[in-house]
Amino acid sequence: MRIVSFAVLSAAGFLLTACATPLPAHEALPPAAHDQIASTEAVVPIRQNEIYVYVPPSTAGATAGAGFGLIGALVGVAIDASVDSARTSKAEAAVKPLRDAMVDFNFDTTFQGDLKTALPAIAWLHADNIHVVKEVTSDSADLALTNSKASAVLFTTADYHLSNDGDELFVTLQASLFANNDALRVLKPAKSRGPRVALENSLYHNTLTFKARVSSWTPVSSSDRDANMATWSAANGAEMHQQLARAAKVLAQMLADDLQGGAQPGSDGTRNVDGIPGDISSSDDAGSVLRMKDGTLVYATKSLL
Amino acid sequence: MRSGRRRLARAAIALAAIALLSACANRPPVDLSAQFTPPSGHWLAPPPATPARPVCRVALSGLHDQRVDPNAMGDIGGRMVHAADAPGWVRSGLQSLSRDPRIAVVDGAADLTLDVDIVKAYSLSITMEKSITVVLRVRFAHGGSAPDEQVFRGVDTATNWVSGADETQIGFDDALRQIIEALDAQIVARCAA
Repeated sequence: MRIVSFAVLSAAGFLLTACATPLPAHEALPPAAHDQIASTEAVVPIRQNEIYVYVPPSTAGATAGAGFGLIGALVGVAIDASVDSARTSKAEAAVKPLRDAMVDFNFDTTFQGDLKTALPAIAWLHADNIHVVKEVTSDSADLALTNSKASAVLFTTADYHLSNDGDELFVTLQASLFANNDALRVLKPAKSRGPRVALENSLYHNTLTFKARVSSWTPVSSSDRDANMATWSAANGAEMHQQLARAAKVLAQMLADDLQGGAQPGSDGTRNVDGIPGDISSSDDAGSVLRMKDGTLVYATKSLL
Repeated sequence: MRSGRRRLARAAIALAAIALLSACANRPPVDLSAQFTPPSGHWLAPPPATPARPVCRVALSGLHDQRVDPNAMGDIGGRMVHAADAPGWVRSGLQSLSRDPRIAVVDGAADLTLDVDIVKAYSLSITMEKSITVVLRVRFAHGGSAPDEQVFRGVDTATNWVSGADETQIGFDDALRQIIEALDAQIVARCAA
């Protein structure tokens, strides 16, 4: 999360400095690209090795310290760091039984397998060489794009974690497709500065999220983290195992659909997820896919809708 | 007044974040040592009142790295962590079982053999913390009894000071130390059975 915070801060700072227009959350693949893709390499960066609990950074100390000037605010930041430390240690201790229960579950290979099923079904994508990488930096991604022999490279960066209370599971996929031949580069010339894999250079990008609640068939969740962990961990992590496997399969199919233009909103109308409305694109027995106003896609289990 | 405090707080947070970011931006990966460094002080020493027993000879019959990328050990504050020889590091840690006078790690005939998988070995950054985890699966073979296995997990969660190589190495060594101590107890119990 620290990295996310840094990324958000630095990205925000950069945008403020440059007075640039914020990048849209979703950019559809131009149909003209279909005929120019002879092959696609799919790189699947997954930094983490096990599930973790998201710990929101504390800001109370900095806010209180600000009343005493910049030094006070900096002291407040130090206090926040101490609070964060205690919270993180508790969260790490709380998630340990779940990690122990899930020690033989490999999200990386599960998701890779589902992508190997979903992506080759898109005829024009010619997806091949779908592989997980654990090195997740812009330099390593740039290198992967530069070294690729494919005409396009699809990056699908995955993250899975629990909410601070442990009651909600979030699996997020940040997908982006980049040109790697001259015919595709014509469709969207890359900016001369910055990483080649900057989102603004992508032919397609979107964020896809899977959300499920512990004991997802019941509408009531608990803010008792330890109780939630016990539920997720029961029977060798059966509930978590099932939801992560489901998330991998659902997200792989959502990505395949979105690359092809995305499912259109049906007659099921609009639903709110976490208070934000979205148009239902499709539904199954356990939940629905919603296209949010910014174009991102969210699959939410029924108890969250 | 209140919004001014908030602005100042945000500025302080941003300054601190930018300082930390610039401290770790473009930094080379942390390269972990292939040598386990035990903590200082007495560890793996038996209680003083332990009655004399024959030394248990323990052999390592196999060490297998089960991870997707044997070089990748996660990150610390966005700085990648690498290990050119993680099995070598684990092996050197297992050799330290000989610090317990009740155990002798041997190459030849043994009373107990260990077949070890490296299941996890990573550093994860959360808020301002680093959480380092090592998970080993050990299969024990003891005399004529059927082999059994046990999973051992060591975790070191501590403040990430400067995303430095030393603090990362210490964290991994401490996580492995926890496993070795738990393994030591299991070995002693099996050898006594």
